[in-house]
Formats: sequence, C-alpha cells, structure tokens
Amino acid sequence: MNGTTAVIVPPAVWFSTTTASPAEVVTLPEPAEWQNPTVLGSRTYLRFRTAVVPRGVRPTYPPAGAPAVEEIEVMPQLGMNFDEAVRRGRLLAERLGDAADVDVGD
Amino acid sequence: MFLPALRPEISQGDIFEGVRVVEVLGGREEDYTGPVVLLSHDCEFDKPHEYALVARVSPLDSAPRSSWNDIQHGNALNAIYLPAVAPRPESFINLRYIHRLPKDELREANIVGRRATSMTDDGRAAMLAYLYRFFARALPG
Repeated sequence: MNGTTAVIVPPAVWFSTTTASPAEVVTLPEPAEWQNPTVLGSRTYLRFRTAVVPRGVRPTYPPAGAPAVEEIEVMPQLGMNFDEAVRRGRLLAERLGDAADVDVGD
Repeated sequence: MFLPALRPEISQGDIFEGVRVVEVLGGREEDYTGPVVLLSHDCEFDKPHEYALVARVSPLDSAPRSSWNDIQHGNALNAIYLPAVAPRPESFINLRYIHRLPKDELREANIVGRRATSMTDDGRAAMLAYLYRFFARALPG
C-alpha cells in the first residue's frame, strides 16, 4: 500500500482515511492498476463529493427521510391573499363568537 | 403579519425555532427539527391538558419554484405564506404537517429564547381563514 491506509467499502469505491471529512470519497483505479505500486505511488485518484453528512452536523432541515421538495396544491378559484384572508377570518370569528376569541377591535 | 415584539404569553400564531417532533406513523418513525407555528387557541393552550397542535414552517424554497407565486398570493391550499423576518427567510406554514406536541416543549423553547415571533391579530385572523379553507375546501364567510 506504499504507506497509505485505505478501507474498501464496496468494490471500486474507497473512503479516504487520510482526510478528516467523511464526505470525502475517492474512487479506486481498476484492480489491475490499483495493485500497481507505480499507479498508487502517483496518487492520481479521482475525487468527488458525496451527500454524506459529517457526524458532527445535526441536520435541521429538511428532516431525515422527508422529501426535499413539498407538494403544493394550487387552487386559484379558492385563492385568498392576506387582506382577503384577514377580512374573511374576522367574519368567521364574529360568527363563531367567543369560541374563536379573535380580537376584532384593531 | 408579525408583531414587533413577542406577546407576553405563549399565543396562537407564535413561531418557535428548532422544535423537535418525533412521531411513529404506521410503524415508521419520523423525526423533524425546525420551526413550527402554534395552531392551538390561547385558551386551549392555557387548559391543563398536556398537548398543543403545531404545524411545520418551511422555507419557501423548499416548495417547487413554480408554486412560489401561488403561495405568496394565497392560492395554495395547504400553505400559508409568511414573509421573511430575519433571520428566517420567506416561508410558509405547511398545513399537511400538523403535529401534537407537549406544551412543555414550547414552554421550554420560550424560556431558552426560541420563541421567535408573535402574529398580529390580523395574522391570526388570516390563519383562521386559511385553516378553514384547508379543511373545508371552501372560502369562509
């Protein structure tokens, strides 16, 4: 290994142990090449970033397992801009009376 | 839509940052940490039982770009548009994600300064109208 430590995960994918970031991944050369000390010695590996989240980072958004893009149901015939929603919301609160208890005074 | 300062007490329409919700849904555990808005009415929150209802607040850019204009103009049934209030970006309340949460979680968030903003009375009235529309598929009034 020419002094280099490596861990093989699946064939042809190699997580580098020489960097602090677990997001750093290197691909291996083809087996015939990677066993060739000349190729290893040159260290001409192809590097690319993955979506692996470093362990020290606690993801907040999007939540784990949730879709990154939310489905939005648009229905313009039921559209209410903010002012219209305020007007209708106050009307609704008045009809519901104290049960809704929205202050209508201001 | 938002008051310049927090209401004195935890109130309907308050937005809390960094709230964790863990649920088991159909045997699958879901975990969310992020902003939520309190949906339960003030008098419901003051009652002695343990839980309150909250909904997720998501950044606008988590929705498809093609829907941003409709969210901003109130045409999206499951979304209530929230203008940016630094440091929170333009966002929306996602009514498809309503959760039951122990009130103590919100009380603790309040104590440690994660109660971020309170809604105006207009904001609360609008939220009521949008909630009605979401459940009734009709406009109130």
